[in-house]
Amino acid sequence: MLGLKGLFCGLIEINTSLFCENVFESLGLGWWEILFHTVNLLILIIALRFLLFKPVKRMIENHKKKLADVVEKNKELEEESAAVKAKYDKMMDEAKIEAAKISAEVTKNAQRKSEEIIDDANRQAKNILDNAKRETLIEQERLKNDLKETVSVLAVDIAEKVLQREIDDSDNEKIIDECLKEWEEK
Amino acid sequence: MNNIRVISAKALSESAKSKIEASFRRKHSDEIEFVYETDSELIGGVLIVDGDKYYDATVRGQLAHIKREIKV
Repeated sequence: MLGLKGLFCGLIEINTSLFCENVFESLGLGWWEILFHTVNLLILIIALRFLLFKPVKRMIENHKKKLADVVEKNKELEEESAAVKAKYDKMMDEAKIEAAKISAEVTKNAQRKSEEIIDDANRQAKNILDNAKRETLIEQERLKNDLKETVSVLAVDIAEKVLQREIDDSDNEKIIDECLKEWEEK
Repeated sequence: MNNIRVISAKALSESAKSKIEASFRRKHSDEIEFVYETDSELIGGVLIVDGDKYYDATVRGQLAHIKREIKV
């Protein structure tokens, strides 16, 4: 087997080199030119490796590193931003709670104030009513007294008129006797 | 001599006059003279003016006193 394979490969090699020789001859290339160009190519490849590929690769590596730094920085900024937002949200919540407390306090104070005003108004109204009642009673009493006085004076006037007609000499004597007795006792 | 004015609504009887004179002569030690007048406005009783003293026993006086008491 190996022998056959070796023979077969040998045959292929010979055929290939014969083929190549024919091709190169048709193109006008000799072995030295091929060697020369091959060496040139190798030099070019080596030069490109050191002058182009490595710097470019280095540049790409740097760029990747910078990109990674930027990504890292972004991540840090995002985390910072999230922390600030969380802090802000907390502050907002606290502020809302405080505002609700203040609002409740203000409402309570306003309610208390309005109750005080209503109580005060009721008290004043009651005072006014009491004063009015008192004054009404006083006025009633005054009118009653005025009426009594008027009626009494009228009664006295009527009595005067009646007495002017009714008093006779014996009544006169009696009045004089009583008065004389009274004056002598003084 | 002191004068005592005696004013009555109607003319006084002699008994009334004598009672008045007797009463006032007891008050005075000296001689006194009585002057009698009438005034129907007095209605009844007698008003005696002895110097600066007034003795009001008239019905009008009493009624005026009642009126004053009522007004007070």
